[in-house]
Amino acid sequence: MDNIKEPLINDLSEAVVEMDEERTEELANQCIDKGVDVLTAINEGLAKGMEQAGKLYDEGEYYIPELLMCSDAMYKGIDILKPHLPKDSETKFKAVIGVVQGDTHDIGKNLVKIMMETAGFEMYDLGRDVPAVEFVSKAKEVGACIIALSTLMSTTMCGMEDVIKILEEEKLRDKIKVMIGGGPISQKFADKIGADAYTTDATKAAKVAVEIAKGLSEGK
Amino acid sequence: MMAVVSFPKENIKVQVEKGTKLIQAIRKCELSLETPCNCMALCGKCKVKVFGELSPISKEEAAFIEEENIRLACLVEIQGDVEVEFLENHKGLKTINRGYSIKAEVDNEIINKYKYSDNLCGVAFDIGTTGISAYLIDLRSGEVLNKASALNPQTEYGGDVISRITFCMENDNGTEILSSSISEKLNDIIEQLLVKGVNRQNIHVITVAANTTMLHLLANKNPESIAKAPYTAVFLDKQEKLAKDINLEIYEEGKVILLPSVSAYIGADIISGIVATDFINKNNKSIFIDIGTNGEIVANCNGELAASSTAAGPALEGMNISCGLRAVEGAIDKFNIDEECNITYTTIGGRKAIGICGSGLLDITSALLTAGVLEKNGRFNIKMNEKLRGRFIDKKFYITDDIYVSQKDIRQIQLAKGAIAAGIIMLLKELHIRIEEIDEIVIAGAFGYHVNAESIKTIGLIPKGFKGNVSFVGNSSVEGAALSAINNKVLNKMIEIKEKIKIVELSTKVDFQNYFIKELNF
Repeated sequence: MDNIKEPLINDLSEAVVEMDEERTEELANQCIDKGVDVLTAINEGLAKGMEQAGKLYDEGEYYIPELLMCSDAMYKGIDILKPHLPKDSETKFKAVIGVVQGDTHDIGKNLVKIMMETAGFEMYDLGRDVPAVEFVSKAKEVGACIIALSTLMSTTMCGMEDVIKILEEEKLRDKIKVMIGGGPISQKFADKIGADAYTTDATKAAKVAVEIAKGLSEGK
Repeated sequence: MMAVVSFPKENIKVQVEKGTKLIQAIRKCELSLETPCNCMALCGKCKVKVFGELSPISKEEAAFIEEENIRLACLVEIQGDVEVEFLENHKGLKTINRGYSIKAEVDNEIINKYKYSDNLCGVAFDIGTTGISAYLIDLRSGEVLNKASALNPQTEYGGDVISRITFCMENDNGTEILSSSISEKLNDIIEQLLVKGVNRQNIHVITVAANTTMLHLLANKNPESIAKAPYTAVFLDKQEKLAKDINLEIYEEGKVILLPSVSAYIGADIISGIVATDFINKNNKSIFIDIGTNGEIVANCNGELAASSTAAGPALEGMNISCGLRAVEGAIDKFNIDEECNITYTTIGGRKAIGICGSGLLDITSALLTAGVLEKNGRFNIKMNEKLRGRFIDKKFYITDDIYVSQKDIRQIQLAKGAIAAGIIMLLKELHIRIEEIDEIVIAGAFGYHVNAESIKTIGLIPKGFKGNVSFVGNSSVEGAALSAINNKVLNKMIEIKEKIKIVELSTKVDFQNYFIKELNF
């Protein structure tokens, strides 16, 4: 990369970490004007900044508001850069995400979605109060390798087990992995229902999702 | 293969199958141990001291235990003969058994109904998720003859309504178990309430104020639908039953009146409270908040009423907090840092500090903010005053040698206060008023009584911009139940109010997240 462009990429990362939407937009436009590779700007600039924000969140330096403000900045940049992406850019891993049936609390799910998007996933968000069968049919439709399920209430946790049962019935269990999370969820519960992964927060979820997706694609 | 579990202090032994979870052995002996998270291995509050052959410590369990022989009853399995000792700090919850209320005359309609009996008494209950309060009332004079309070025995099956409902869903007869657990306790309390010259046969009526789930459990109705979207209750209207039909032992033909609720999350306790305190007749702009695991908020804008419930989580009751405790003896309940950075605190009962309860947490958070130890965004300030710096080790701020608040604890408090503050803001938005216009905030509930008004303003549990007065009314719910026992007009008012309050469901609103996130900062 030549000398003018590299600082631009670093500045993009920094603008995201510093939650500066305006500057992120400005820098994204500069990237296009100066002919910076768009994919590099997204991956090495915006996504890297968001990753850094996730790290700060892990360390307790940032909290949910900061993380969301960083993601606002990141998405502003992506909106500008995305239309300039070459059509044949690499296919991403796909994942379906949502809050299980009976529950309408979705802030945790939204955070996981952001961090998984940052980690390179193409996310299909079904929203909240989603019946088990819809997760599976969407995953089949788009060819997702992960279904990520969230709930805040112990009364609706059983919806997670339903998703796994449907996957088993349809003999999709080895193709589609299930990740779960939310206030009342524990590793103990994940083991009990046979979920593939449980993580305590959004940044860890994104890391584990990448491992799972890579494992699946290498296994093929 | 069987093993013997003994409880030397209680002088109880029980034989169980090897591999049995310790909590099951404890329940089998009908001993009490609270499991606030309903044995999900999330809260670490079911610690006991145990010696003997036990399952190895799992990673999950290790996260909660530090001392030798201390284990989590919900995780540890019995592998051979063992001896169990309960830790001291799970006893003696302080509940507030008084509240502010209007005066209501005894109305003749009620007395005439029973004119042939001599001693005419009633009992008023407030059944909280955590604590129960009760009054014995002379129905002729309206005088309160005695008061009693107790811990809700259902706490053993989960600390909050959601985990209790989960218990009903996961266990055959779960609803029946919780139902008989509460009715047995109410019978015990009635016994305690009796005074000279008054026996069970003199009690003709019982009035019950409680949240919607507690009312369902008392009536032996499965509350499952309350804890699943769209969050509906089986019943909301006032219920009148024969006491014997729900196993309450009073006068043979005695009645139980379950007061009306507005919705699954705005229960009879709230209606009872806003009627008892005359909040409904305020001709200004005011807010009534009952702070607990769920924060219920009612706004009164010149007579127009609207209510919301918000999932504050258990942090403000000292749960999910590293050194958190409920309001038991030895809990730090007040805390201050003065201008010279000297720390002072008090504990309930003046005992040696063993942890921090909700009001203590609010004071600590507020004091740390004011002293610059915490930043507005909830982060510990690494440039804090030198004098306090020594207390800050590994992202934990130490109050005593072993009691501290961690960064994670502060985040839990942010979640709780953010939920309540966002609830207030959104409710006011529905009524087209701003927080700046609010004249008065009334704080109800046993919890509220210990709380320092300045602390909740400083941490922003009450949204920034509020300029009015804060008042505390204590347990107004039991007061309302008492009034409705002696005066039919009060009861009718509650029924009328039930229809008048507009319910604003927050969790399904699209912009809740934005408001919540904004209110997370201090």
